[in-house]
Amino acid sequence: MNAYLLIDFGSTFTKVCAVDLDSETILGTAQAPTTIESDITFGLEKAFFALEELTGHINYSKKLACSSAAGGLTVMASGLVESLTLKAAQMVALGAGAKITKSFHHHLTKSDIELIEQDIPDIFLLCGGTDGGNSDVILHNALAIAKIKSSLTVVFAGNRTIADEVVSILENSGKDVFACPNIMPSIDKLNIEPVNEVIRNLFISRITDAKGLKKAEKFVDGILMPTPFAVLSAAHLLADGTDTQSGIGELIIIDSGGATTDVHSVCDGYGSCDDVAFSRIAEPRVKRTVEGDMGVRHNAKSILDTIKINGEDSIFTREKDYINSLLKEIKNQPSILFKGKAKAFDTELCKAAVNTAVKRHCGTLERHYTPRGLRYLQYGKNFSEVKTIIGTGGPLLYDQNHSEILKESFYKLDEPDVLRPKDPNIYLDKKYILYAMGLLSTVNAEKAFRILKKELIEAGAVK
Amino acid sequence: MNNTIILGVIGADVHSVGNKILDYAFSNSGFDVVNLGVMVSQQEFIDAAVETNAVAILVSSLYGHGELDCRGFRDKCEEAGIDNILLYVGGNLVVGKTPYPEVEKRFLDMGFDRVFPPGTSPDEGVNSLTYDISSLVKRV
Repeated sequence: MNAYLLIDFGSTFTKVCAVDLDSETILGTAQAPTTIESDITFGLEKAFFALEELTGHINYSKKLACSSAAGGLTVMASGLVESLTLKAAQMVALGAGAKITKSFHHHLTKSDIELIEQDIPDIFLLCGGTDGGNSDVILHNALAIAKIKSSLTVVFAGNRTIADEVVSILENSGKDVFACPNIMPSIDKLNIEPVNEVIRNLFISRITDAKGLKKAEKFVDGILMPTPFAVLSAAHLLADGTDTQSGIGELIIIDSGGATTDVHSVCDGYGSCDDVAFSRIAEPRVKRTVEGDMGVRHNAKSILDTIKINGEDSIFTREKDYINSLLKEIKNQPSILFKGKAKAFDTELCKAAVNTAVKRHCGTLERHYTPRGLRYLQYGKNFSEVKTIIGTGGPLLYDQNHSEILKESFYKLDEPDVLRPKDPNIYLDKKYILYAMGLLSTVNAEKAFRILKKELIEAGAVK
Repeated sequence: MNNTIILGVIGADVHSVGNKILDYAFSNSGFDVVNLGVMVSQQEFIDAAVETNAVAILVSSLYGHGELDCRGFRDKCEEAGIDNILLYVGGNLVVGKTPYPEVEKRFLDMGFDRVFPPGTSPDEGVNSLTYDISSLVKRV
């Protein structure tokens, strides 16, 4: 046996997963509440003992972890034009597994600087201007950031013409600066990978220390990445395969959580078709979006607001008082597990969150009647041909109505211009192993791929 | 010297042949062409110009709705802080048999710097642009 222990220090739960690499099997999984306030290792030990009760004592050859505890990896993103460099900055931050706490575009104002000072992020991502393009605004922004008194880590990925100057301004003001190649070297080109890598390295080298995760290091061999990045890596691996095994093809992963609902996709999304033109900025093949207002527990109220209340007959009008009492219960205790009638309400919340999160992730078509007939303009990615949808996340996995919830992501006749998947198969991450396989892929991608395929596609298919 | 120009076909227009010819002609004359292709909105032209610090925006329109699509373009440029950018427009700009001088006047009044009728050789556009850029430099 060659056993690995894979750990996720989540915002609410610490999850552990034991894998045997020789037999390529999951030996067991367990979880316990995360204890970041006191000592992160308490929660880990509890989860670990729960696991040992299942598996018996195991000698692990390696213990690897990812983390989204203590607020995750927080990034503030800034760009010049909202739809161009800011959008690119947001995409790269999300793709690196970060949580975007604020976004800015054009000139940073005095009040923007105050906002930054009040809530210093782990990383400030400073972008703007194509190479040789506008440099005034990013220079202004660098000077504004230089005035911030607190220590701050800045990743610069803007117009290279001004890079040296920006770096020295920020360094002279005592900021930690990391210069990357421009995130948008020209209008039609994105260069995401270098920034993504710098952000992840920063996460490993310093951010885990700053967040009280250091203590965990006497138990684990390394906290390698933010949890969302681990999930995204697993998605990428399953879709595209390895050097020797071909992947299962384009897919979407829906991670329904208490605090956010995340959607990960691996899909090109820009098919060639004569009557469709594309809006300019192409989204990356591997894409992640986070809906901070669609956490099934923390945002129950705002999810409810998105549900259309169809006439008197709807459960939401009939049971208004009852639902208000449930909302109160969730607010007092977000981890509450509902039973009976309340459970049905929970399912509705989860459905609405999945519906909205996937809608925001998907591209749209705009109709134009031209002298040559009907033509379309496509914004974002087209998922209509995607055949695989995988569901994960507590609220979804603990609900019996998995397929009903996941079907909310499908193409809808009353929203024909939202490019959702038309006829996909659905699968469940029953054992909660996506993050674990993302971690394992850094050691042995071939085995991680086979385990993912076995656990998710063969054993996780939902009728 | 900044030589970046933004090129595209405005509105719901899908005529892409002339767009490719212009891209070729201006690129070969040493311009840095950011070609946005067909079905480009005013906002997209302006966003690209701001981000690249472009010196000119060249708008094509072949399907007769040019006047409608170009309305307010100069105002939006001013709003976006690129009031000095050169704005060119060319193609079949209006439907019907309006005499060309009248069409030209309408577009000049809308704030375009130059207006080109159908059948203009790309060289003429290149020469005009080279001249206009050099006078811009002199002005500054």
